[in-house]
Amino acid sequence: MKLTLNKFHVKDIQFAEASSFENGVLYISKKELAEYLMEDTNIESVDFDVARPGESVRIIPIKDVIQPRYKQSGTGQIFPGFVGDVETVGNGETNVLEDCAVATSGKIVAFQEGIIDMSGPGAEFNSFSKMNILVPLIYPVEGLDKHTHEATVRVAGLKTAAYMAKTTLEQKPDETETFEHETIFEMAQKYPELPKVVYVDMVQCQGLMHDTYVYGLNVKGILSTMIGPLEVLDGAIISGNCAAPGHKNATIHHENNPIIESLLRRHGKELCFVGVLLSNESAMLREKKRAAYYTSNLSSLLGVDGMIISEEGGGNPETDLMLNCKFHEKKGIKTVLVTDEYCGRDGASQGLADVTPEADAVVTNGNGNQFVVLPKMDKVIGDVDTVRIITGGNADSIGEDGSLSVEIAAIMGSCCEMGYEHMMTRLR
Amino acid sequence: MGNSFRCVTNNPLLKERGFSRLEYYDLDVLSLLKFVGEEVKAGYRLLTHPLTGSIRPDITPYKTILLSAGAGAERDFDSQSIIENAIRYAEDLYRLRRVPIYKRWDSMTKKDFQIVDLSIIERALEVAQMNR
Repeated sequence: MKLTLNKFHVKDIQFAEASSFENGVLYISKKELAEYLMEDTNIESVDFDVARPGESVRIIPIKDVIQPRYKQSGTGQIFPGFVGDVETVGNGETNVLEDCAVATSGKIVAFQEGIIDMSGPGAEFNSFSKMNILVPLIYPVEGLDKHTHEATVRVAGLKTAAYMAKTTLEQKPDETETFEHETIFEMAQKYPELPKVVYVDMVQCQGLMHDTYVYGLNVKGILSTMIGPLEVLDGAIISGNCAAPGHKNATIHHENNPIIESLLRRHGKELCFVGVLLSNESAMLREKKRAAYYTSNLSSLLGVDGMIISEEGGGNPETDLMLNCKFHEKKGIKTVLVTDEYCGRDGASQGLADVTPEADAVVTNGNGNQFVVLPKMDKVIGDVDTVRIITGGNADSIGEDGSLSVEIAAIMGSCCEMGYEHMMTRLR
Repeated sequence: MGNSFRCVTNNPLLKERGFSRLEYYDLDVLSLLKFVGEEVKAGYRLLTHPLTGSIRPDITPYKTILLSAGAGAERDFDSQSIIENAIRYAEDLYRLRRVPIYKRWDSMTKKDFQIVDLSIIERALEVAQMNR
């Protein structure tokens, strides 16, 4: 299988009469995009705003961040099950808008949504501040229940992202990157000497604001399963998870999963990247055990030597993380765990809610309790008052000078547990 | 509905759902975890994780935990380890601020926390039901 990403660097987003992509500028027709989104009759009205790198702009509250992509060729369409049909993706060519994102905003429940600052100290904590961001502000019809409201905003974000990237069809990209991945039999023949490694992607599925979708299917109740890495890069995994913004895996993280990309780049050279296993994070302990046992069964069937696993969220998922670690190690498979921590403002507390002695190779992506003061911004897209009620913020978060005092857990993607950002913890 | 489990909660929304073995306690989440810790010592098994939902225990005012209907003759090691870790984790987070975050919410936000806690427990039961 081969997937080529046609990368178009976006220098600016501007509103215009007609949507197009010219000389690095993405022109968006608000009217046309609004009509497309309002095909969903649960949307009463929609408006759009743009945030650019370096501007004195704060976006809050954010639910999901999505990278615009659209398939130029190959089977299926981006975000299968939502924008595309459920047909297989992960082959052919996909057009990608680099330095560009969609950030969906809107109140669904009164907490758990993140901040992006386009300048100042907050901008240092994620890559989104370096992107041109289109923000759809989605207002639902009156009386919409929260589950439907969440789904409405989620799908509107995906449709917006696809709409944006569609403007680049048939154009010449700034650069391309091609990823290849063989069948297991082929790679066994080609790379018999290389260590065989599988990646376990933990996906949350615990209810409202805590769900993940694969080809449009909520992963609740699934047995652990296997998916091609190229399919993931083509939008097969979607976030419906509005849990703590600092360490939720947004859709953009799935599309650019850095563990998958790194393993693909090293595949056939230093290691043999066998594939991706999805292990769901349920609320029931029996389900957690079943998922971890079954994931380790699949790893054994694949005959891998090593496993890298990334977590989503914190607290209970640490039990899934540790069970996966324990069961794999018992089967003789070496494990590396990727997570983040809540270890107090001074970093002195134990940062994980569950541990196991087998977890002796752990990569952390930062401490969500780290405290930061974010100065007032000239413009707020969304509603700044919501900082009082999001993870990492509190009732005293807004200072008299308009500054925000928050934990970095409130900043979108700050401690991304796939290693998308550059936070790390230094042992002393 | 007739349940084969104990439903321990401080979420008032659960009271409207008709669980036959609902035990409502007017406690904060840390105290509720400590109560569950004592029940685990008495031989009850945890059926759900005490830190469900990726909402920190110092942030959510509400938590619902399902326990086995009966107590075993011996303590369940896994349940004990998980609840002890959860209590320690919550204690550390409660110490972050003089007044923990969960005490600061307005009534609308509290209602949202109740809805999400309920959604999580309904999902847990839905998945358990699928496996019967």
